[in-house]
Amino acid sequence: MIETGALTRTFAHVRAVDRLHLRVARGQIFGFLGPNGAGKTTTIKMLCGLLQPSSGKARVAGCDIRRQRGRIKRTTGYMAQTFSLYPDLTVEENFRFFSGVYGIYGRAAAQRMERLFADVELLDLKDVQAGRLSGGMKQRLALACALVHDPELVFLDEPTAGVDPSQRQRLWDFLYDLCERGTSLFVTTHYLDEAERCHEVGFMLGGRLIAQGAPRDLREQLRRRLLGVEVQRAVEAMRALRALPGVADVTIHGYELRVLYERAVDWQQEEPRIESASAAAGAPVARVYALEPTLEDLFIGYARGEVRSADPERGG
Amino acid sequence: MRNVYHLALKEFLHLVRDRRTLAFLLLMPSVLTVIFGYAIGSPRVTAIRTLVVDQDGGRIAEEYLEAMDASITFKTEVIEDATDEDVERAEEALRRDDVSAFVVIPRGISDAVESGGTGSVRAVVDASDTFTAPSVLRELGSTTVQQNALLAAERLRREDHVHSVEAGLEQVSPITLDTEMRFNPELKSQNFVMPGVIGLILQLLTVIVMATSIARERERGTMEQLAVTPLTPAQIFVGKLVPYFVLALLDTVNVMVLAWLLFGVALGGHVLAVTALVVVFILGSLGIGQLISVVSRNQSQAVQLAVFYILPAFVLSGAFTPIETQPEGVRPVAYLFPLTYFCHGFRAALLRQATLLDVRWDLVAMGVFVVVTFGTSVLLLRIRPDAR
Repeated sequence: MIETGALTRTFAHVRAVDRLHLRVARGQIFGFLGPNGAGKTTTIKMLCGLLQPSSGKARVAGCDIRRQRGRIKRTTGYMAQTFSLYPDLTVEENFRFFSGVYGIYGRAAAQRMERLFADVELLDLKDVQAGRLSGGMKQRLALACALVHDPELVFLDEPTAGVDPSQRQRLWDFLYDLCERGTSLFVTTHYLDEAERCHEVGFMLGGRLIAQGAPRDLREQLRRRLLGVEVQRAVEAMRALRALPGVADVTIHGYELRVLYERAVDWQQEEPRIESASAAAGAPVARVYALEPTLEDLFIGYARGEVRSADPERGG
Repeated sequence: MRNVYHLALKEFLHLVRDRRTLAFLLLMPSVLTVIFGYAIGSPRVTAIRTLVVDQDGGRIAEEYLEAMDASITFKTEVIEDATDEDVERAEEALRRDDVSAFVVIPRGISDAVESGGTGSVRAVVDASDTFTAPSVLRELGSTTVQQNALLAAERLRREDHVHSVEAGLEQVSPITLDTEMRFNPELKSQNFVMPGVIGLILQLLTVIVMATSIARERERGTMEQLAVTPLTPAQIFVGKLVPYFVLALLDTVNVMVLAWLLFGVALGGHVLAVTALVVVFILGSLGIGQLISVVSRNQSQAVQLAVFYILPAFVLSGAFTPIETQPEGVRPVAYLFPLTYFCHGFRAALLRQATLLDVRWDLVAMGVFVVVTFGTSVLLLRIRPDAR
């Protein structure tokens, strides 16, 4: 569905996207992750024809992004990071405008609207001005508008930013529905629980793709590298444990410390060292245990450079 | 092309939703027409307050005074049997701006002139007002020439060279001037000003409204969404332009009817020439608005740029005062505004019944603006559709 080769975009000497090699298969939800400024939005803009690449090449839905921008625009949809519909127009007028612009008129447009509005539950709100909708409703309308022309592939740039958890849930249910019906989805998000729901994720850092794979496979990298430590005085314990040899990072989660090691360790062997170091700092440890790694651990590890990419070849 | 229709429809909806702006766009032209129509006359100054200090009181003084009174340029007030203190009082009145000029007719001038000698009338003018002072000088000059001719004619008759003063006048001033006023015989200033005012209003409306249209989409982030649709930059411009073009046409008709009703400005002229001028001018101004919009990051920047463009056009285009009143060094700048060509062509079309052929160069010049502004806008938008 998407294939890029050394795709690069430079803004005034800053390489926002640096020789990106990315392959995304058809028919799946692809999660595009990375900290702010990693180049995610720039990549999306290049892929949907909003921005010309500085160098490199890419094909989206079988079309060259330099030469076939017109066709890409007809076969892909794009939902921007910020709400980008017209607040003074009603829900229906917004939809009618976008369908008209994509060349869908009259009865075809009406049918498409009924169907999509039923899917995203906006039928009752047709005559409301878009500016009066809640955050979740706005996102649902934006999604419906990005889908007017029944695209093969949809780019969603942080579709759930600023949306409450129950609304997020509904939006994701709809995304699965969409995927089931054959639409490929390319989603950026900062919510790691959402990333876990993707078929595949890619992790971007400093303009490069540093890891890609199924969430479960990626998490496996951290297996046996994470220990949990239950402790009352977490701040003192954190400082003490960070000084231990082999420890890459320590983060506080309430009364739990998550200790990331530079390489796989045996938690029973580490336990006495952790207990004595922490006790010396005046923070006696309640217990030490092995932790199930999450994408969040991986995400933070990548962002801080403590975890290196799983597949450096693919990372370019 | 049907998708352009949907874009135009959307712009119409924006206009209808934004009632205040719509009301402003429809009412502003009428209000400005009334204000400008009444306030701005041609730069001809009349009824200048002038004090005449008559120290002479003789026949020469009396006739000179009568001649001044007959001129609409002056609104005279006379101090008869004046003393030297009255001259000082006149100086004080000039300083206080109670009068714009004073004229001193010196003691004994009648006697001197009648006995074949000479004399001089003194005029003191407040030159801080650069409109009034030249008018005073010009009018006093012609009054003096006229009085001298009369005196010379009388002298000829007294010495029996001719049998009447009229015959004497023919002798001393053999050339007479026969004037005919064409196209605006009553010298009605509105006839000159109104075509300019219509141009100004159209420019104000189109440039500002168009300048904010694309900048607003950028500010809202909707420009990106437009850019991923199959609409091409050219289609985006055309679609956005249609509602404002229609609105500007409505306003043109509105203002022309008002100018006719209130000020009796002729609406004649060749329909083809008038229509072509209005259409090409509106397109040119909309084009400039679009160009401003494309280079602006947000609405306030666009408005600033628009005002920066509109203000010099106000002064330089010849809308209110002829271009000839400006120093020659500045005049070329005027040709950077479509308004200049519009004022020129529109005046010719309305007042002098110019045909399409007569105004062709004005049309061509404005056409160049249309092509250049649209071309550049499309090019810039293609390079960076979502420039921020």
